[in-house]
Amino acid sequence: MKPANPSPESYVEKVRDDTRRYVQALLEENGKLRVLTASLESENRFLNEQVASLQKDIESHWVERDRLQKSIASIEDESRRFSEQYVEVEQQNTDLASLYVASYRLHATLDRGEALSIVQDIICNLIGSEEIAIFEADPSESALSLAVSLGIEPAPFRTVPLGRGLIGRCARTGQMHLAGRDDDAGRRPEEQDLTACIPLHFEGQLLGAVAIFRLLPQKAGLVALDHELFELIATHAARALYCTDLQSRVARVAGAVR
Amino acid sequence: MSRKKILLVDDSSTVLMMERMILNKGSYDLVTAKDGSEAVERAFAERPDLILLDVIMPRMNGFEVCRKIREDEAMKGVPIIMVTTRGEGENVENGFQSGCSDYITKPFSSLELLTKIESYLGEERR
Repeated sequence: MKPANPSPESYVEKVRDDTRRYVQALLEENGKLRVLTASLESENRFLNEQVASLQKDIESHWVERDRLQKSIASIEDESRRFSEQYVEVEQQNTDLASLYVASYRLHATLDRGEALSIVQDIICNLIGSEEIAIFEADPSESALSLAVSLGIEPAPFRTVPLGRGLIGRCARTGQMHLAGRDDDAGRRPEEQDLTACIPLHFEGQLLGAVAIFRLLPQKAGLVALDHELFELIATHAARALYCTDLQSRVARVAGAVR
Repeated sequence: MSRKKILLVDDSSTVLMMERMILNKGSYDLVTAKDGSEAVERAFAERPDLILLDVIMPRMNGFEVCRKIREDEAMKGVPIIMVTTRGEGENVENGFQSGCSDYITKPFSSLELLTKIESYLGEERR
């Protein structure tokens, strides 16, 4: 049996109902979407605020980082300055200690041999040379005689006439000779390795001279302290040797009196 | 902290005096010896925490002193710093072979000496 055909009115009514339900569902869905949109917009606003606040934080951290970097750089600068000052002060301490020790040692004896040995000791250990010759002036002051030597062949230096070679010229003029600084015209072959020659004068009288030849291998060259020590040797060693001479004369006279 | 003891060995009064002046700034007790034999005696009697040892000395040179000291079990770990005018490789090698821990060449600066000592005994600078 065939189903009865629906009437046109009932069909239209069905379509209208379906459409109404569909529109109703769309409206409900639209409502839900509006709520969702509102909630997402609110969340977005919140997140934007968060981002803005974090950006502010980042900016302030950058500023802080720059400030800290500047502060670290300034502390590092200061620390470097202090280190340099410390090294400088320690160097000054070494210099002063060396000068004090040298001067103390030079005046610690009235024995001529010991005084000469102290001069050598100072040159070896505080200046840094193991090639040394110490001369005494002859009574006539026309030549130097080798008193003691270390690390050199003594024969060519037994007697050095005043004015002859760099050592003789140094003794005659009373001017210290420093290789590399002073004119080396008149240098004799045996003076090839001469680094410095220090005249020993006291109260206008020539007492002798100290010749320093090659420096120790680890010593690259003369430093400021060495020049100070040369000056100290020039005055204090001369005075010390003069005192030892006086002492031996006094001892001789005392012996004769006794 | 207990004060560290340093034995200074050198036949040169100039060097001993210089070392004393430099090290007196630190809180160290200093004892001295003027030749190799005295150095060995003082080392065993005083039991120093560090030894500054010259190489060329009368009676016994620095290398021999170093070997003698190292023979004693209790002194094996004591730092020995050779203080020498001879900074050439051969000498330095001899020093290490005889048991020294380090070396320093003359003429030395206070900074060099203090730095070397402090590297073995720790910071003592005031």
